[in-house]
Amino acid sequence: MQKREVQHSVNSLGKEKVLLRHILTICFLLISILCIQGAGITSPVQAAGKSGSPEMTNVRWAVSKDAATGVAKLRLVFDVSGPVQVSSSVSESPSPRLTIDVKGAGRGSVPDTLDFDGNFINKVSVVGKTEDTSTLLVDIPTVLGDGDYRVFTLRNDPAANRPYRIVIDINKPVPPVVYHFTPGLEDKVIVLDPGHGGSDPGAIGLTGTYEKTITLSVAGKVKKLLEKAGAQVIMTRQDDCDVAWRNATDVAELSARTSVANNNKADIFISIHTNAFTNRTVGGAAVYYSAKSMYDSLLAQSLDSALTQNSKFADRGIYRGNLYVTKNTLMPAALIEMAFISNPNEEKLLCSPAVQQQIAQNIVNGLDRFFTEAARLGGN
Amino acid sequence: MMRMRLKVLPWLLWFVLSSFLLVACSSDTNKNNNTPADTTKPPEQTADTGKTPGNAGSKQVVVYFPTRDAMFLMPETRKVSAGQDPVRSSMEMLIVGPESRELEAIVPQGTVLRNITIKDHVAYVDFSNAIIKKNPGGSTTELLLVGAIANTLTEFPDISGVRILVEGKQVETLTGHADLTGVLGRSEEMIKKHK
Repeated sequence: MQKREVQHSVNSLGKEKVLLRHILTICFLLISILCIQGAGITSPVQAAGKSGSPEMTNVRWAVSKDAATGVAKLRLVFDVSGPVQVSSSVSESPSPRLTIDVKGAGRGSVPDTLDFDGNFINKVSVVGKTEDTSTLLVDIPTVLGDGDYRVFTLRNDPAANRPYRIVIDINKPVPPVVYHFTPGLEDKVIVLDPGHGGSDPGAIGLTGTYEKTITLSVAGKVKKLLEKAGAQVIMTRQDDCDVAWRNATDVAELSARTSVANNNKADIFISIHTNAFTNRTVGGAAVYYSAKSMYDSLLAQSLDSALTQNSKFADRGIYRGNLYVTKNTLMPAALIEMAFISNPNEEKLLCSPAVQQQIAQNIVNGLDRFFTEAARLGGN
Repeated sequence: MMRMRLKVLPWLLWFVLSSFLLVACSSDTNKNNNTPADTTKPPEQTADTGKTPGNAGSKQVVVYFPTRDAMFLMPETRKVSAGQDPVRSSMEMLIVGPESRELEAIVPQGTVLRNITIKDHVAYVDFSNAIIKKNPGGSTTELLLVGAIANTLTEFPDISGVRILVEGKQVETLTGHADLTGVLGRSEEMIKKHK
């Protein structure tokens, strides 16, 4: 009995020791976690504040897609501990590079190289020059035009816990696809997509004209002219029907249209529409495209120039658009908004067979112009 | 009883510690993965979003509307009275239309804001089906509408992108032109640049 009690007290003494060790370990771990957390979030800023020389404290990035144009953009942000000035330039050789000189901040705790996947950027090198000047060397896959990048600074905002920042926006470059187009319309495979149809009337004019009726009528006229010139034409719909099936989901309907072009290995896809807006005085023709290759903008430009010839409609120009059919076709594609059906004057004109014939002829001329230009770019 | 407590206590402490560790780690990774690179706009386009302008308890929001010629979007700075959710209010103001005569309403009349939630910096904005049924159609209207929604909501620092829902369901397009699959980001290109 006595023995057991002694044994017990020894045991409990051992347990208390173990408990004490546990508590000490836990305390140690807790303290180290707090240290690590603190170091990650606040310490560089504090360090900079203490030493007095401003520096970069963090770098982050994200990709987003422009809701209206569909253009993907990479935003690269450097946090800085003080106000900075930046100046940027693009050079072509030895390889495409965006150089950003930073006045007011050293490299600080930011890594000297950051590797990227090459979609927007290949590599970023951060070179600290003096205590408070540095250079960001951004290696890019292709040379950027003026509208394809932006470099700017942002002030700090203590209320929102935001430091001073250097922001670099880079648009996704147009993929360097090369087509071997020959001049002329002969033997070209053209898919024509009369917008809307069947259960979807599209836009409706003030006097009740349906967009789907006008688009089908014009597409039919384009088909005849193209076939006369020796092209092979495939229409996504021949009459007033849904292309997928009645009341199909939106994407099923749109992908049924792009599939016609993709499955037939078409050279060009043209979607024909009429535009609309609440302000009924707005009018004019516009051409939308997605920059899958440089040929898409060339196609849009060729069509738009041709559409203005002998035209009753103002020219609104060409636009990159976040549009399903131009994005999801594998070949150069354009969506033509011939005029505004919501504008009573243009609605009337759109109903005229003579005006429709002129638009059709302009579309064919635009296609012809496209193949001439595309062949010159590096076809056979 | 005492022995029980002694036995259990270390495990209890370990449990507390490990859960603390877990929470600390997961909140940290969340931060790294989901914080948008910065939704803040270039300086010439910023308006003091959601900030209290000192005097009143009211806040300012920025709502985007198309120009009368349907070429661009332009920001309009509006006041939200105290106690109202600025994000929700900004969408309701977008529905009602602009104060300026130089700008046009873009959300079809009769459209109701059903709901708006924010998750992982993406705003899920749910409209009634009038946004489709009463829509005039046309690529221009659809792209201006989508751009106005995305630009108004991404004015808020916590929102980096938008998904559009109609009657509770995510939509792939509104009127058969725009591709609304995936998160929609801000459209700088559509904003009319001031000189």
